[in-house]
Amino acid sequence: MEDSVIIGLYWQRSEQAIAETDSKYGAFCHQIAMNILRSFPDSEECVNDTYGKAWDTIPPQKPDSLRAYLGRIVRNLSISRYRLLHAQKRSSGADVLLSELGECVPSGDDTFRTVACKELSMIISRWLDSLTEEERALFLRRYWNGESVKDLAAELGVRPNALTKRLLRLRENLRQYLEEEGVSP
Amino acid sequence: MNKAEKLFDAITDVRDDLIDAAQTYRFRRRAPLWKRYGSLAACLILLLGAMTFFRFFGGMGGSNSAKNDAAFDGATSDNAASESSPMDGGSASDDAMCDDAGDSDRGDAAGSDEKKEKWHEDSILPLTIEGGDNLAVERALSLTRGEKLLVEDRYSITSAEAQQITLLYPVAARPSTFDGVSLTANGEELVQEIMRVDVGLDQLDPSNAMSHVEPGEVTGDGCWIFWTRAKLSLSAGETVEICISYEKPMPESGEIAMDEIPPKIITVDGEMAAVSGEGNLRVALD
Repeated sequence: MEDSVIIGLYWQRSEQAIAETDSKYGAFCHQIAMNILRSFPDSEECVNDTYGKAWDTIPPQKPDSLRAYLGRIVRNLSISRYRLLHAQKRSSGADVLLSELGECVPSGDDTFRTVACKELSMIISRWLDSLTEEERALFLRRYWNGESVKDLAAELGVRPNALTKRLLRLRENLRQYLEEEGVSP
Repeated sequence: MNKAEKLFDAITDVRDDLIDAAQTYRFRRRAPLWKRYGSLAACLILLLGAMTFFRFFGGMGGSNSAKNDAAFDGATSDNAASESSPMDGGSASDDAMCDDAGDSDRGDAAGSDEKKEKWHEDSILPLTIEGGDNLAVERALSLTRGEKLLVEDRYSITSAEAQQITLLYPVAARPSTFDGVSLTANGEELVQEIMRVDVGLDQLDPSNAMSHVEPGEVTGDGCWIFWTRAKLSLSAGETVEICISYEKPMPESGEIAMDEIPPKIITVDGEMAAVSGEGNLRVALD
């Protein structure tokens, strides 16, 4: 079913909207939640909460891309749950992603102005625009979807070590870009 | 929240179109290293093998035409006798380019194999464009099996400036079976002029003297190289789709090697068989 039709169902307050969302984007949302939480029950709960949040926010929202909209909700919910669950304990999942992204943070302090999350998103979007299509997809599939290096390497047909190096160069590139922009998260 | 977490959160809100594109992007799989180097090694072995083969058999004869005559069994004895008179049937070197050259008066296995190789080598030659500057050309070659092999050689030509170009396309054929080629630009048939060149394949070049021939003017059973020639006017920025199509007898060995042609895309029965690369390339027809 077309996204516009599903969004139309939300606007009509038809519960079929949830069923259609689950049918089309259920696996996608589950994958993102699982990549961050590494726990099926927690992921399941996040995905259900995602549908609830979509139901609550559409209308008034009318997202241009339902996939990105749902993905963003499930990602935010998963990160929140992750923080709640791992306040004390460090493990895999988002920890790995966070430690990798820590390398993108410019080292200086006074020379960089701290920017709000929204502005930082815009800067990262501009940086992504400067990459090739493949690099962009690679970065987002790793750090937005949270897909594992092993899975991505298999899809690309390269060794995980080679992909790790490629991701390292991308993170280095992002760090340089943020430095050039004079910003710090 | 530390800075890495803030960065992680910020990534969540990157633009929708970027996220969408990343989800639908299909990564181009790299062939494993052993495959890449294995293919290269296989190509080198083939190349060396072919060079050794041609060197060995090429050295059997005396003069160039006699050499070809000895190496390929395609020419009839009549043709061999009349090699100095092309109008009576074509030179022996031309004969080598035809695949179905009639009865063999030798029939030795090595000659037959080499004849097939020669058919493959010479059957499909690339389009030549004269007078063209600032042109971008993409090529797609397709071969479709049937009673005969349908060759469709397509070129997408984009001109950066307004200009007139001349298209030259060589076909090796026997006058008795040569029906000409279909040459179209954007689906419209172009006015063609059939030219003939009296040289062997090794001298095949548009700069060689060509003479105009009328259909039916050339007779005999020998093999000739015909150039089909057409002029085309292009305006600045215009893209024109050229299609040259003709039929060839099916090769006996079931495969075609397109030597010394840099193909962009080759399809067999509409399926991608090989892409890019220069040098020896074989496309299996079976």
